[in-house]
Amino acid sequence: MALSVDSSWHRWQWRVRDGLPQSPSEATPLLSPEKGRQTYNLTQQRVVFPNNSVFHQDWENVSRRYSSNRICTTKYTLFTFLPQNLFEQFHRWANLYFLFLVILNWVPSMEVFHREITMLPLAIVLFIIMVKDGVEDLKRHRFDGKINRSKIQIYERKEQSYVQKCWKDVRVGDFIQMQCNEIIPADILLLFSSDPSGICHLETANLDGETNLKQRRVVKGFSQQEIQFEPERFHNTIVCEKPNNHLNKFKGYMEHPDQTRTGFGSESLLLRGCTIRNTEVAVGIVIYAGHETKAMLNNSGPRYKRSKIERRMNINIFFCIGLLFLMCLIGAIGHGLWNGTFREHPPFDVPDADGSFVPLALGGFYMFLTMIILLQVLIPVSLYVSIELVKLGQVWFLHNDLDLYDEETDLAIQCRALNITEDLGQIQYIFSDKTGTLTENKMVFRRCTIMGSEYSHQENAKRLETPKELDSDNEEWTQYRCLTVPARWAHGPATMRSQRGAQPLRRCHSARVPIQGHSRQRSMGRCESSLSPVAFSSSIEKDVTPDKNLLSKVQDAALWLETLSDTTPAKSSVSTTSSIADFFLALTICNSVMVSTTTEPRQRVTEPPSTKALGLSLEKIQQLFQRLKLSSLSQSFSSTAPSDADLGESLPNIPVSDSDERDDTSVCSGDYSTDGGYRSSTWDQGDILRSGSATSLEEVLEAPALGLASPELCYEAESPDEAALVHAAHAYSFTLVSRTPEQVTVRLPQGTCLTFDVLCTLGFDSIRKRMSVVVRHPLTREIVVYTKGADSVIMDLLEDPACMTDTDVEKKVRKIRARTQKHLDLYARDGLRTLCIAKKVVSEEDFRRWASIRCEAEASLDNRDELLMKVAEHLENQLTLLGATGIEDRLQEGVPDTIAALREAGIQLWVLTGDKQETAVNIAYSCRLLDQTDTVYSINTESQETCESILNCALEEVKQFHEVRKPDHKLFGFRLPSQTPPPTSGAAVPDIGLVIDGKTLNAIFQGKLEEKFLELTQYCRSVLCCRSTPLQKSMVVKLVRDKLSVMTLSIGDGANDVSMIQAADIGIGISGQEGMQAVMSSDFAISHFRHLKKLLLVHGHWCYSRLARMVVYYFYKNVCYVNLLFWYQFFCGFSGSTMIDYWQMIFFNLFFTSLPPLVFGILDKDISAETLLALPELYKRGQNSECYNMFTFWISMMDAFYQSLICFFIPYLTYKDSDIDVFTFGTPINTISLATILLHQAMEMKTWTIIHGLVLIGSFLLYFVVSLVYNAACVTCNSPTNPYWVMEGQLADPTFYLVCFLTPVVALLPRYFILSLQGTYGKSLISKAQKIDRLPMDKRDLKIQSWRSRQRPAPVPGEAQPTHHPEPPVSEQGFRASTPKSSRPSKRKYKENWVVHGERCSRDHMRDDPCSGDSSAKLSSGEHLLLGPGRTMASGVYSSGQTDAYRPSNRGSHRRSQSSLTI
Amino acid sequence: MPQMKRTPQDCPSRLPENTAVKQQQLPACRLQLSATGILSGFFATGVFCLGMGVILILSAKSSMEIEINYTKICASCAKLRENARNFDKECTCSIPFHLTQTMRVLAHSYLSKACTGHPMSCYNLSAHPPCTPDPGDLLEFQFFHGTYHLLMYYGNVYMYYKLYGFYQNLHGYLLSRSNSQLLGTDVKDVETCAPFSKSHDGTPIAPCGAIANSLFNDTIILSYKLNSSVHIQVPMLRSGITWWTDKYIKFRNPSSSNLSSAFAGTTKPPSWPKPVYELDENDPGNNGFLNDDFIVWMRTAAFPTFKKLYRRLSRTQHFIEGLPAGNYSFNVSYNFPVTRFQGEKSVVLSTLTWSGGHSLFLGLAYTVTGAMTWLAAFSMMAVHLKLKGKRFSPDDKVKL
Repeated sequence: MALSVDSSWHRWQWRVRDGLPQSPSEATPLLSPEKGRQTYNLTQQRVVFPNNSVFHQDWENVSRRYSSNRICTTKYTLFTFLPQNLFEQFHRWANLYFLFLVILNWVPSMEVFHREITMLPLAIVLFIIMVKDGVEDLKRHRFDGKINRSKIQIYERKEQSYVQKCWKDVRVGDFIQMQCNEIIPADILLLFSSDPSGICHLETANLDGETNLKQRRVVKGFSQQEIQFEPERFHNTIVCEKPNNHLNKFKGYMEHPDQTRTGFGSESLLLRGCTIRNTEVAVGIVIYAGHETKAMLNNSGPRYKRSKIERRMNINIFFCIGLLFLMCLIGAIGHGLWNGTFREHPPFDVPDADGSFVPLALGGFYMFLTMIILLQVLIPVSLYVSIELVKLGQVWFLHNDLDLYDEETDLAIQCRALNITEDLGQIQYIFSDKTGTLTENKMVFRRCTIMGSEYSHQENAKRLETPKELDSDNEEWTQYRCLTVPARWAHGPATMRSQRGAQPLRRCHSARVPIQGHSRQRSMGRCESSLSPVAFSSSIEKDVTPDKNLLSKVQDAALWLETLSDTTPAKSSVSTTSSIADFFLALTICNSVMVSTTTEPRQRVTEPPSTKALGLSLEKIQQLFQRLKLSSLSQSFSSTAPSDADLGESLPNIPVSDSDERDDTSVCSGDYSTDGGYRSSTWDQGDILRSGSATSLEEVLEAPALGLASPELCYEAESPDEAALVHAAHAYSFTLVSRTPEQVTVRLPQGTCLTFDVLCTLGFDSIRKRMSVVVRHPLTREIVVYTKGADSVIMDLLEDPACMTDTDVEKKVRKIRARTQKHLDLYARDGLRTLCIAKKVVSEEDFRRWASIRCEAEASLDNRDELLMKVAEHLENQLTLLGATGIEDRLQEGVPDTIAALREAGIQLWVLTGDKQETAVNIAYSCRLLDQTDTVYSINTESQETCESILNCALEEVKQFHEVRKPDHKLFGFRLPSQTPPPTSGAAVPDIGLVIDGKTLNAIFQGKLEEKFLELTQYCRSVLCCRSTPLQKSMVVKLVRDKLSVMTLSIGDGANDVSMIQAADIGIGISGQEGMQAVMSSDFAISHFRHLKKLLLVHGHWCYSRLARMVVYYFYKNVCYVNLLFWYQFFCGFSGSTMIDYWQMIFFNLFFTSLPPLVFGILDKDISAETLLALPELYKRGQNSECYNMFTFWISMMDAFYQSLICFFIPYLTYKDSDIDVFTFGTPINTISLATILLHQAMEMKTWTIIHGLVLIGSFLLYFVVSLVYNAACVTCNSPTNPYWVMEGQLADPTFYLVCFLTPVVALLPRYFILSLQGTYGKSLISKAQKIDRLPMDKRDLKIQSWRSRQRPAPVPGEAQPTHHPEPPVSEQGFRASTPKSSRPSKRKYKENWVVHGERCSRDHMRDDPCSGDSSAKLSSGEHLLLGPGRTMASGVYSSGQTDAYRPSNRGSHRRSQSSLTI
Repeated sequence: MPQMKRTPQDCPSRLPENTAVKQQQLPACRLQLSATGILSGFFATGVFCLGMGVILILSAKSSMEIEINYTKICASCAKLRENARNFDKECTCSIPFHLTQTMRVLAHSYLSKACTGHPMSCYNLSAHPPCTPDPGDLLEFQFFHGTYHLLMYYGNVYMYYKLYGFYQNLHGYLLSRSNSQLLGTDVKDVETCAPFSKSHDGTPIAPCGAIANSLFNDTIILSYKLNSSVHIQVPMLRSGITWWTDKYIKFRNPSSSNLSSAFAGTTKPPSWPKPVYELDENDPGNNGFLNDDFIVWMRTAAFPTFKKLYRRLSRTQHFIEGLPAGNYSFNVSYNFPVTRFQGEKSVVLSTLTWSGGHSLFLGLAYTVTGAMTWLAAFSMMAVHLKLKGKRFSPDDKVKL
């Protein structure tokens, strides 16, 4: 359970609530008046005594029983390592099997080999695994140690002060003092906060991945206290729950010395792993420590993951066991029959030591067991070791891949699970977190529209999109910025910051620069790049390059604003200048952003500096003073001259935005001429401004002087988009200087500071989807309501233009609204988060009335929240639209590309996020998860019935789409109203996306609707689960994994993804900004989402194909070799003798044939990385388990049988009737099988490197060398067999060579024949790709391109769409780039496409017309659309009483993500 | 970048090294599976195999072998030996046969095969008078003999004895020996020889173990009928029939001035008539563990049907060129019982070529393999040609 998702804190609600949300009786269920102090029941509740002098005795008594804060996640200790490890290893049945064999071999009558020798393989296997486990555990131990040794301030009773100690020394009852940005070491009850209102801000990123700040409150009764907390004066005992794993459930009470009790709940508990933010000092008492903390209890150990190959392998091993059993049975029966042919015991039938012969049946039984020992290699124990080693090698290569290395954090990929690398190649479903995984979780201001004119912020966009160029000419850029953002005039610390800030922009280097280009030095200096200590203040958000067009207007507006005090505002309400000023004021004020300074980061600026006193005269003096200073600045000004030219050059770009605008308007078939007229008027204004730019520029340059005086400000917001907006305003020199609950101070571009009295703040909540601030304007003394909120909400709350007195104004207002709406749609298409900004001027009278109502509402107890909401609605209406902003939740680099590639690879991608639905959908669009052409079903309901009916309807509809492809026209007829679509769009079945929220998921899980849900999702291209709790995430993953029995991968970065990461077959953690929890629980940790592409497509493919083929090869190898021994049994009376010396047999498996498969498993590349990346389809081979399935297994088994037959019988027939002795016969066989097996391996290898060659030839030579030496040195060593001089003798015999040449040729002929047929004429993807791979570079690229163009349209119909519309992800750029260039006729065509496109792109199920111009048509279309699902569930819809009920709105198109299915 | 230089040592980067190995960028070549390459490979292999096959067949034909199965011929002796109590009774039989130059190779192989399987049919084929019983024999037995028309042998001629159905490779049998005893280091080391390690009174057996105990103890003498009356014994060497390493390294007599004293404290294997140091009365050097026949026997055969080298022709006097054509006879002193386990014995005279014995198998296998390879190559060529026509047209269409 997440902290945030289910909890009732609202994001922007930071003011202290009036009372505790729960009454004391509610919060203290444990409280029972009878219970005296002595009757604490420690088995049911936890009693915590403070560790101070007063309670020291009690503390010692009680706290001893609680676990300390030392954590230990290791499996073994030094002493338990050996026994425990052995114990665990023998849980593996293969090891048990070999133990059984070893024991069996100790029975004299069944001894086949030397007893000690039999133990050798097992011992080696155990040893290798033991070393591996030991190393892993050591790593864990070190990590634990690092955590345990982290420092924290603990109150020391004896010294009466706080002392720095290690985390592990923290005990329950200790007082802990935490500074800002410190990580909380244990679960702590908050007793003191430096914040006067007793609030402590917390970042729970480590726990749930959310970076917004959360508030914790000091326990009631401690909030009004002196400056410093005195632990000695804390005389209370604390009684609370036993440790449990509910993150947001906590109850307890505090007993005062006078027996009164104070309740507290989870709002006072600081959880281990969270980070203190925005609070200078917090003091608390430790309630739970170490493994008893909620975070640790939530962190269940990783489940043992067994890879798919291993699972399949185990099945095949059972086949092998069956085979072994059969062979042993044949041996036993054969032995019995053979023995039965003799009437008396022949001389060669040797009796027991005591001279007696065993009975026939018993002899058969013995022989059965003997044969098990003899043929034990059939169960490939060495396979287990080899697999472990191969995986180690694969992991090593993964670690060393430069492409998976992130320079910024100096982190390569971490492989934490060593045994599932090959699963990376078989993934069918990916479940991804959104925040921090797909996105950077950094909100960036992108563009805005004010009063209907769009400011596209092209420089800003350029800056964001081309970080690489930035990197190269870093210097130039800083200069440039200095000019354009005067407020950040280069002064010492600021330059430093900006330069450091520019570094992250280089991050793409590792991906872009070809491998050879990597220089070691590059990252050397990168180590110190630490995480920013301040929430949401990365350089990217902070640096907004102002739109030049807008900048000049803003200067103008600011000037106007300053003159405001002189002249009363008589201008019309739609005056652009005033609106711009209001817009930026709203951006600056309407939020809950905290201000602190850089020099003293945590010193909250709550009072404006003394110089900020409002007074024009003072300001004027300052300005004079600055003018004087200007001369000193002139030098630096001249140095920026070249960039000045730059500025001039970039000026012609400005009209682009307008031409775009023109285009947009022309699309909208509105009245062209009036529109143009209007636009020209705005143009005029701009021209005038530009003509006067000389003066304005001068004034611009004045500002920094003031900036010099005051330290740079840091903004700390509860949500990243607030910060983004404030920073955006800051870029236009509307600077938020300070904020207190009562006052907000804003510095205007000219340096004037305006202090607004905040009369009321209506915080954001998810139901209203807006927030408002009521301020008194310092200049006009008007009461102004600034509101910002979701466009869907704000647009409905605007004043009705019909009520306007002036028709001219009315027209204008309508126009502005229409254009704003159009821009909003544009933003939405680009995946930006949109916020509308509006204002309203309230008369004194009205406000007073309203305030009194609000007071009443606040005072009421029963339905306070509802009342407050209603009250808020009374104020937030009749708003005047100022404009809208587009904020980008910046996607991580390469996300759309990665997603496209993964999808092409046949992987289904789901996004499971705790975030809001709108945000998630926006991101889904921008990262190409959803396409504009997709039909998106949104299901938001709480009731199971509704959910079921929705699912049914959706399913029905989806099935219709998929079944009736031809009579589509009829189906689509109503969906595409007026303009007839081009035939292609009608024929193509739209892809389907599904958006579902947490409540619906709950309904699905509770209502047993999983089957239907899954059925629906199978038709879906992508699925989004919003507002889902961590538990739900893991449930979804488990559901898909188990019900569909597919390979799943979860990727996430926060602690809220931990459960999901653990539930999936492969969990991937993103080691980024957000703590280590996800990484700790993951199997692999990467630093960027885009690394997934190479990780899966290349490494996954390689790992899978390598390992799978190695496993198959191993089975083949063992069966082939063991069968040789088996065939010999037919010629030795099934007596279990071998023709090969046992040492040589062991060597055969241990040395001669072990290395090539290892090298093969680690190094072989069936297809090169480039081809794999270029052709993601190749990944499907792994998904379908093509390398290793029943078929390949049995084929290789058959081949093994054939080869072993050949390898045995050709020598047999050759040496038949000759005077060959047992071991002389065994030597050629051994040699032949070695040659066959190695050649077979050589045939399997697709690429030959020097290592491959060396290992193969080396193995072969090693065999001869070892055999020669062994046979020459060993006169009596291996007693009965005594292979002395056998090899030497054979090498002198021409027959040996003849046999050794012929047999491998015959044995491998069929395989080679088929392989070469496949290789030359194969039609499979792989063989084609291999053929491509062999081509030279340039030809290869050509071929790949032609391949892609051939393959693409068929599997992914949605991808055909780019022919209509330039690349979707960069639509902004693409769109812009293409528009001006297109000539008249082509533009016409383009427009048409655009309309069509727009139609299909209306993301709702309803297919509203996006063109907001003709609203009537839209209305009708909206109504039409309800036909199917909407009607049937209408009753359910309304009964469920959700707020987001379907409204047939005439502004349908801005409600992008809500469909008719929305409840 | 100036600031990059600052912290190379105190802050080691985790940047993976950009080496070919670590980046899996080792220069690699892919095995070219082009049609021409494969086809030519196949054809070349085929040619080689065919050629080799022909050579091998020819050379195998040039070697000669005669095998005379005397289990049935000496059936009376066999019967005698079935009863263990008759171990001290001597039993010999003689098997006359005829070597001729006039028979062709083909006939030879036919005959020898026929005779190997069915001696009776051989007898019918060439009705020569039966040989007379050996005058020295007290018992009267009906002997059968056949005249074998075989090509004359050139070069070295080896005499083998061949056993059918004697499983020297049985697991228990194989183990029942003591290599350290045979090495002469410790005569009393009989640990691994169970159940033939010690006699009833506890004295260790030398040589111990089942293998030694079951030593083949027939004596076979080849005599040549120079003319109708004069029978001369073909001179045979019993040296040089073992592996050199066996004779001089693996098998050593315990060091002592006198062999019998060296083996003092040990006893003979239960089924042996004489102790190990009296195996060869003629040649004192051929006694003890160094007895050639013993060493040969101790090298256990791989298959239940095996032959072991018994003697080789001493190329002196008449036999400088090998065995001249003419009438010969084997005089077998029949000691080794085989009928108890449905086994058979035969004696083999054989010459060797460079490619081993008389077996045609390898040559045939090569020939067949060569043929198969060619077949495969041709079929591939057919597929190739067929596909080549097909493949190009549609592909090009798609491209266009």
